[in-house]
Amino acid sequence: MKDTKTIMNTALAGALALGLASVSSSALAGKPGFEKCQGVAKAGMNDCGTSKHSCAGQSKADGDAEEWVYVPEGTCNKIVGGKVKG
Amino acid sequence: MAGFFVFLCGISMTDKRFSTVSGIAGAGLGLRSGHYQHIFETNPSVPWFELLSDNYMGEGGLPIVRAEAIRDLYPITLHGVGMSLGSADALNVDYMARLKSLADRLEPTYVSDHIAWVSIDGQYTHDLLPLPYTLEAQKNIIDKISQAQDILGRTLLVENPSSYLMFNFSEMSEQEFVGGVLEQTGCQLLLDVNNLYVSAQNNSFSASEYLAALPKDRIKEIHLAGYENKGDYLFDTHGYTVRDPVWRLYQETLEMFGAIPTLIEWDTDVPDFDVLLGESKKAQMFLDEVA
Amino acid sequence: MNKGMSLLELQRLFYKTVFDSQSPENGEFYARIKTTVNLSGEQSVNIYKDSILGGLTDALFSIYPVCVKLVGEMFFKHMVADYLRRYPSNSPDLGDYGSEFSVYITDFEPVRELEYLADLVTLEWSWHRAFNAPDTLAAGICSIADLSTVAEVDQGSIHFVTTPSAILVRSIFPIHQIWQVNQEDYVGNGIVNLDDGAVCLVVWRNAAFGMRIDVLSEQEYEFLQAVTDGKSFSEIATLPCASDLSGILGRCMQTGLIAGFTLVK
Repeated sequence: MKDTKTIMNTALAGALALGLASVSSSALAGKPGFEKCQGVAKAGMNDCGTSKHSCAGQSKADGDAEEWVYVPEGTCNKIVGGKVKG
Repeated sequence: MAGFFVFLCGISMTDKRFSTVSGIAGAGLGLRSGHYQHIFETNPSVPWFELLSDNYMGEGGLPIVRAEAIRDLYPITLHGVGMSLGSADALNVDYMARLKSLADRLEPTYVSDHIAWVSIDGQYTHDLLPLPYTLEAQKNIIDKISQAQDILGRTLLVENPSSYLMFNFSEMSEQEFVGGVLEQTGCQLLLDVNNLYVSAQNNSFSASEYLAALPKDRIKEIHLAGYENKGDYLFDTHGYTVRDPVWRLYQETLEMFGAIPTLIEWDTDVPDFDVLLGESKKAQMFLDEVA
Repeated sequence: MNKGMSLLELQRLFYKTVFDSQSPENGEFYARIKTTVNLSGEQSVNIYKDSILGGLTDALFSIYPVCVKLVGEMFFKHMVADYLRRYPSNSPDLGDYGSEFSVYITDFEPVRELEYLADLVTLEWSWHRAFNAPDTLAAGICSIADLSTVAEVDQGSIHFVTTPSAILVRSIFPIHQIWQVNQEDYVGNGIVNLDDGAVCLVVWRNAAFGMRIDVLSEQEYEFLQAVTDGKSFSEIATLPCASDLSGILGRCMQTGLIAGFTLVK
C-alpha cells in the first residue's frame, strides 16, 4: 500500500496535468448530469410578495380538513418499485 | 454604438456605458423576471425601471447579474417590502446592511418601502399590513425611517399602502399620519394613486381631501396599478390595466402637484411586455398634458 | 371612545389571528376594527389572512415544483397549510422560506408511503439555494491554479474548497430520475423504478450560471463530503476514495466543483 505522501503527490500531479476548469458540462462518475439554463425560467422569489395583495388565499383550507380526501394525485402514480405498491 | 456583448444563458450584457444615468423622469415600468429576455433583446424605449430590491438579496447568481445589466442600460429605482418600518420590532439591521450594499452596487435614483408593517417578533408575513394611526405608531415609524436613512446614507421614499380596514382607536387620519412622518423624518413620498383610490373606497374617505392635505413638494414618485372589484371591496392585486377612476385621480394628482415620475406596476398574471408598455405610454400622455 | 392597545399588542394579535384561526383572542382583535359599510371586522381581516397565507403558499409552489407535480396541486395546497402555521418565516427574503419542508414531510402521515418525497424535496431546496449562492470564493482562498506552487512538504495541509454553490445530496432512491421526468421539457413515459436504487448527487451552478445536477460515484461523493467537512488532504488520502484520488481530483477540478484551497498548517 502506498503511503499518503505518495498518494497526494501523485494525485496532484495527475490532476494538474489534466488542466483546470476546462469542461463546462461534466462527466462525473462517467454519467451525464442535467443542466438547465434558468435565465428566463426562475422567477424572482419576491415576485410573490410584492406590494400587491394576493388572492391565492387559503383561509378555507384549515377549516375543512375533514372534507378533503388525503390522497396525492399527481405523477407519483408513475413511480414504481420499492417497498410501496401503487 | 454597440457595446461588447457576452452571452450567458441567453443574457446579453453590455459593457458599462460611460454615461452615468441618474435621475428619473416620465412613465417607467416595474421590472418583472419574465421580461428580462425581451428587454435585453429589444432594448425598448422605457425612461426607467423599478426593481424589487427583495429579489436581489441573495448572495450571488443570475438575478444580480441581470439587475446590473439593466442598470447599465436604464436609470433604475429600488422598491422593497422588507423593511417593516411600521413594526414594533427593532429595525432588521442585517436586512438594512444587505440593502445598503445592493444600493451601493446598483446606484438607484431612489430606494423606497412602505408605510406599513410586515413582521412582528421576527416573524415575517411578507404582506403589507395596516397601522393604527396613533401617535405611538407614528413615533415608532418616524424612528425607524430615521434609522433606515442613517444606515442607507440617503433619503428614503415611503409609499402609502392599499388597505381593507382601519382601526377604531386611530387618533388621526391617514393623511395626517403620513404628513407627520414626512415632516419629522425628511423622507419623501411615493404616492400610489391606485392604493389611495382603493383605500379611500374601502374605508369611505375622500381621496381628494387626502391629496389636498399632502405637502406640495414632497411627492417624488407615483405608482399606478390595476385593482379588482370584488363587490364588497376593491382588491389591490396589480393584475389588471389601470382602472378609469384611478386614471381620473391620477390626472387630479398631476394637476395639483405637476409632472411627477410615474411607474406602472403589474404583479399578478403578468402580461406581455407590450401591454405594460402601452400602460406607460398612456401615463406619459397624462404627464405630457401637465408638463 | 374606543379602547386602544399598544402597537406591539396589536401586531401580535393580528399575527395570531392570521395563523391561528381558532384562537379565543381573535374576537378581541376584530373588536378593534372599524367596520365598513360592506364588511365586518372578521371579513376585513380575512382579506389579509388570505393574502398572507396565499403568498407563502405561492412561495412554496415555486420552490418545490416537482413535489407539486408528484402529489398534485390540490394535495400540495392542503399539505402546506399546516406547514405555514408550524414554521414561521424568519427572514424578510421570501427566498429563505421553506427550508424545513423536507423535515415536515417526513412526519406528514398522508405521504408516508411516498418514502422518496422528503429526499426529493431536499433536492429541490438544494437547487433553490444553489441558484442564489455566492459567485466568488470567500476572501483568503487560493485559486487552484496555485496548487502547483505548494511545496511537497505542505501538501498534507491543503484543504480543498468547493465552488460556493455546490450542495451534496444522497438518497436510497433514484431522486434525480424522479426530478428529471417531472421537468417541463422532459419527453418520455415518466416511469421511474425505485428499485434502481441509491444515488449520490451534487447540485451546483457552473461559471456560465447553468444550474446542474450531477451524478457522483460513491468515491467522488466521499471525497467531496470530506472536503465539505473540512478534512485536510492528508486525511482524505487515507479514505477509500484515495485509490483513485488522481482521477477524482482531476474531474472535480476540471468541472470547477473544486474551485480553490487553503493551507492550514
